[in-house]
Amino acid sequence: MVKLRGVKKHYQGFELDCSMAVQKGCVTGLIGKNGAGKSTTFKAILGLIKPDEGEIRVFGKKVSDLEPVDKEKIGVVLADSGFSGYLTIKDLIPILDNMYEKFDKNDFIKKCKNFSLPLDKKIKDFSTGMKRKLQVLAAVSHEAEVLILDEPTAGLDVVARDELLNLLREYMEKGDRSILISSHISADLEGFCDDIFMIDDGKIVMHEETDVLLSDYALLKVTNQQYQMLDKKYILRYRKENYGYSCLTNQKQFYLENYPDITVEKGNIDEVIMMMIRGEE
Amino acid sequence: MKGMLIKDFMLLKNQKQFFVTILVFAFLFFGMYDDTTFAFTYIVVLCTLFTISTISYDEYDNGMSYLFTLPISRKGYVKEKYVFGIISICIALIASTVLYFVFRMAKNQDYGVQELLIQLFTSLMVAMFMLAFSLPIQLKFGAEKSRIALLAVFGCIVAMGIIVVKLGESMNLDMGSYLAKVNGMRPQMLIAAGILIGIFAIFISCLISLRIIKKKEF
Repeated sequence: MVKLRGVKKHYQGFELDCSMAVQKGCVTGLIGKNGAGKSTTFKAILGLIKPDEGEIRVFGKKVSDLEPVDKEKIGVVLADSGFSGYLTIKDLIPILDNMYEKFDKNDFIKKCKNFSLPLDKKIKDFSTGMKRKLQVLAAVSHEAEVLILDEPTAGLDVVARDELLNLLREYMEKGDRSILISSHISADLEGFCDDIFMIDDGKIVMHEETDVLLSDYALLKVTNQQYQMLDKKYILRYRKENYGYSCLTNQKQFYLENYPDITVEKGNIDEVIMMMIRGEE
Repeated sequence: MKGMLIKDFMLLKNQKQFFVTILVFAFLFFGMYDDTTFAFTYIVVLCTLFTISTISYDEYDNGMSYLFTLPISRKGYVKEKYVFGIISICIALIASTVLYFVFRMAKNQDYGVQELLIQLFTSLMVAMFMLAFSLPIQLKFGAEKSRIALLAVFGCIVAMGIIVVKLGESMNLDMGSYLAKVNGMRPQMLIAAGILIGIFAIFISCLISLRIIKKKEF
């Protein structure tokens, strides 16, 4: 659905160098700390910025060749941008209705009401959470084939986040659709994504299926002595701690079988991010 | 295009006060003066400004990025702004014509169709040049800087005019006789020439705007 190959974009003090792909029928997560290049990657995919090098294809077409008809098949949430704040949802309805052939007006209004979004209020007076909800609702309102969601859950409370994720799950139920999603909240991604790309300082530092990440990745907590004895073949990153070392592995079973004495903690995405970014190779 | 046009008209709802102010002054000008050329130009020029303000609304809170993820192309966006501008000018011209007739009737004056046509076309010409100049500048510099840029452009035009006159003087060209020739032309000819130049200016302006928007990153 979406493919980036050797995409480079240079800014002063920042360089994006990214290759990744979103497969049909998959939910792909992009995680990384603030300023890691998530939004830049999203903007490049959407043709909002032009990469200096590399190639981006959406539906097999170069981004620069995408026509409005192709863009109708993409639903978007951007972290730092949205509909003009001077419009109301009531204003948006005829606009979307005329832009998207498959816009489902009644369903959109129904969902806005379910999410308690006021139809007559100007969007600029919405809270951050309300703006996010509106964008997600607009993104899923027109039978898009792929959703590109940059931080769709930012600023939402737990209940609203859960509602939105359910909405996205519902969206995925209808056949060959895909989602590319970024989030700060790894719990969102853990339970939702099929695979995860991790980006740091403009570079993809890891790509793994979520199931593998949760089943095979682990943190080994070892003393200095244990660390010296440890076979470091499957250690991805390590970090000095006051008790010794903590090490990230993607072969939990190997260490469980061969080193029954050491403490092995089940991997979760937050730990993996911390180790991948902060730990040493 | 249709969706974008609807969006811009929806945005105009935010300009109700500006709109009412224009109407009040238009009534005053039409009521007070018998020569309504100024009133015509006033309405049409201010309505042309609506197009510029829709770009400011689009830019509000970084909205352009999101706008270009919707099913519109960069080319489509530029085209829509010019179409919207031309529609605004037409609406303003129709409204001015209605006011013209209403006040002529109220004042018991004859309709003066030729006078009306001259005023219509003069204001159309001014509006076309306004649109042609301000749209690329607004797209290039954005809401904040474009005011300064617009002033700079007009400053340059005046400066160029002065330079041309001075150059003419130093080369002993009789500028006065050229002006007299232009003045001596029939108004219909002048207007026709003006409109043609206006259309040409809009065409060139559209090409420049396209280049600007294609290079832009959001």
